[in-house]
Order: sequence, then structure tokens, then C-alpha cells
Amino acid sequence: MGPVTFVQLYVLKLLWTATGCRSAGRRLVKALGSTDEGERTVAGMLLVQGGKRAEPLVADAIRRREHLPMVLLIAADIGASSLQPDMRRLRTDSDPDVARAAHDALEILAAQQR
Amino acid sequence: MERGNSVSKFTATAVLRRTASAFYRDTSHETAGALVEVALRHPQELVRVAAAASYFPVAADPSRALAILARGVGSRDPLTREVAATALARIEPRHSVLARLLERRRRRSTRPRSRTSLLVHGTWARTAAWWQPPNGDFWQYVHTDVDPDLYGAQDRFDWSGGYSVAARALGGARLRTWVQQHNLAGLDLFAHSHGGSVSMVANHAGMQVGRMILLSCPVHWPQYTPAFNLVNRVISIRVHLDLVILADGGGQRFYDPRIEEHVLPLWFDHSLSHDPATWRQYNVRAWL
Repeated sequence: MGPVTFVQLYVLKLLWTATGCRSAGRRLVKALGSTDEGERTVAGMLLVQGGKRAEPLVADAIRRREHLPMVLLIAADIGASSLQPDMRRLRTDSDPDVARAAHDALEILAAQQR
Repeated sequence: MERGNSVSKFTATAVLRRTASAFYRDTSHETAGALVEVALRHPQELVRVAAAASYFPVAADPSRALAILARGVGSRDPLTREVAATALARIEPRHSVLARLLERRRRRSTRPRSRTSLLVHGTWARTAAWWQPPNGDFWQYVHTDVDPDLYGAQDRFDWSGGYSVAARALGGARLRTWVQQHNLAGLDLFAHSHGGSVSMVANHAGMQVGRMILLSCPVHWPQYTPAFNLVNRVISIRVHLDLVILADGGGQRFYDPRIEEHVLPLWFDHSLSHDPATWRQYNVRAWL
């Protein structure tokens, strides 16, 4: 990932958090599927740094099954306990990576609540 | 007493020989059953255990064979112990005697410290290919060119890869337990990004480390630091102005003199420190 992509992601985050522009937030979620490891990582970090504001975006992504392993962990990292039923349901998902991420997400949520 | 034992052994051996000869002359269910019956009462434990192992599949009441095998697991003779444990594990793998045997072995292990090394992935990278044995490009490179003892079994360590203090704390606890279970105290760690933070959490929890090689590890001092009394060397390798570290809000370099800091003549890219091409081009191996 070069500096241009980095700046673009930061602008998206600013738009999303400062103005509540949902489509900018959705672009960050979309970047979780990038083939560039750096871009994926920064997009995920920016969503987590958005805290509870990211919860509707994450809930939407879970419903659409977008980038599920990563989105489930983001849900846990922001402490989205309202998404626990989805995490529980996905623990038995046929995709082992999704099932494992759902299990880890529940574990992270529980650790945060302790 | 000793003479009595010798007489009984002699008699038992004679009876066994006679029964075996009868079986050889006339192979039938009756003679086979008689042979096993005699062997089950033989004064030598190894014979009893071997008979019990053969008796089980044909016995109507297996409790007698199980009792002999369970006693055999505690025998002083290593061969008898091994035969009994192997047979019992096949017949009743959850037998309490076997569970005790496994616990005892784990506690008493005195294997020397291993020189094995391990790759620890970073944030969101649990499913990434580059670090996975046996085909990940960085795993292959380290295994071939840096350390042939790099851990590559199917039960390799991983953690959630979550981006939170809680996720890293759980990852650190998991790493420490994994190292204990594999009896690998003193191993070398190649840790990328927040995999370095996870390694430091485990290190502070008491995990002994040989070399801790931190690749593009964000600096969150003093939240994540090595436990210097439990690590031989700490080496940090990174690029200039790592953009992922910038987004993370961590520091770009360690300033503690106990950490050997190496900055590659490369910019921005967080992934370059686990790229085999980078390691080859800049002979990173020589820094370890």
C-alpha cells in the first residue's frame, strides 16, 4: 500500500466519522476485501477506531456475509455485544474460517466484559 | 520364598508348554481357549498382559482382561508397561489409568530446551497465506534459508488476529499455553506486526524466549515490552515510516538499547518485512 491509498482511506474515515456519511463507511468495509494486506489492515484499524459508530456497518456486513472472518473480529474489537446472536449462529458455519472467527469473537467479547 | 516362586514358575511354564503343544497338535476353539486361560494365570506379568490383549476380542466378559491390562500399565518392566498401555489404549482409550499415565509424563518431562522457532502472525492475518506451513512463501523461506527447525506441523500456533487489547491478551495466553504444551520453552519467535505484541504478552506471562525477532512491530511502550530477563535477544526489523503503524498510532521504532533496531532502506510498506525478496536482497539473515 502506497501513501495515496493511505490518504484515501483516511479521507473516507474522516467523512464517515465527521459527517456520518454512510457510503464512506461502506467504502472502508469494502476495502477489507482488498488484495493488498496493508490496505486491508488499515481499513480494519480505522473501522475499529470508529468504535460504536462502526456497529451498523458491521451488522450490515455480517448480514451480507462480506469479509466475514475479519468483520466478526471487528465486531468483537468494538465491543458490539448486540451482535452476539449473529456470532453464536456463525460458530457452526460451514466455512471453518468463519466458524473459528465467530468463536474467537465471542471469546474476545467475553474477555472485554470481564 | 524364592524357591517357591521358582517352582511355581517352572510348573506354570511346564503347563503352558503342554497346553501350547496340545493347541499345536489340535487347533480348535477349545485348545486356543485353554492356552489363553493358562497364559492369563501365568506368574510372569508380560505373559499375562499379552494374553489379556489377545483374550479381549473373544471374551464374553472383558473385565478380567481389562483388570490385567490396567495393572500392567503400572508395571516396573518397561516392555510390559508398553504392551499393556498399547492394548488398553486400543480397547478402552479413556481408561483412567491411561489418563494418569499421560499426566505424569507431561509433568516429568526433562527434555532440553528446544531451538525450534515459530512464526507469529499479526492483526487480521490468521488466514493469510504467507506464514502458513508448509506452503506460505515466508514460512518456506525461513524454513529453507534461515532456520530448518522452524515449526511446521499442522497444529502450528495461531491467534484470533483481532485488533484490541483483549484479543492480544488472549493471543498471548494462547501462545504461552501452546509453548508449554509443546515443551518448547526457549524457542525463537519471528513475529510480525502485533504478533510481536502477542509475543511480548506471553513473554511477560513467563514464556522463555531465545531470539525475539520483531518484524514491523508497532511500539506501544510501556504497554508492550519484552520481559528482558526471559529473552536472550530482541531484534527489531522495519521499514521507514510504516503506514500501517502510522494508522495504528504506535511508535515507529524502539529506543531501548537492549533491542537491536534495524531499519531497511525501504518506505511505507508494512508487509515488506515478511517478504522473502526483502530478506534476500538485504541479507536480513545476517542480522539475526
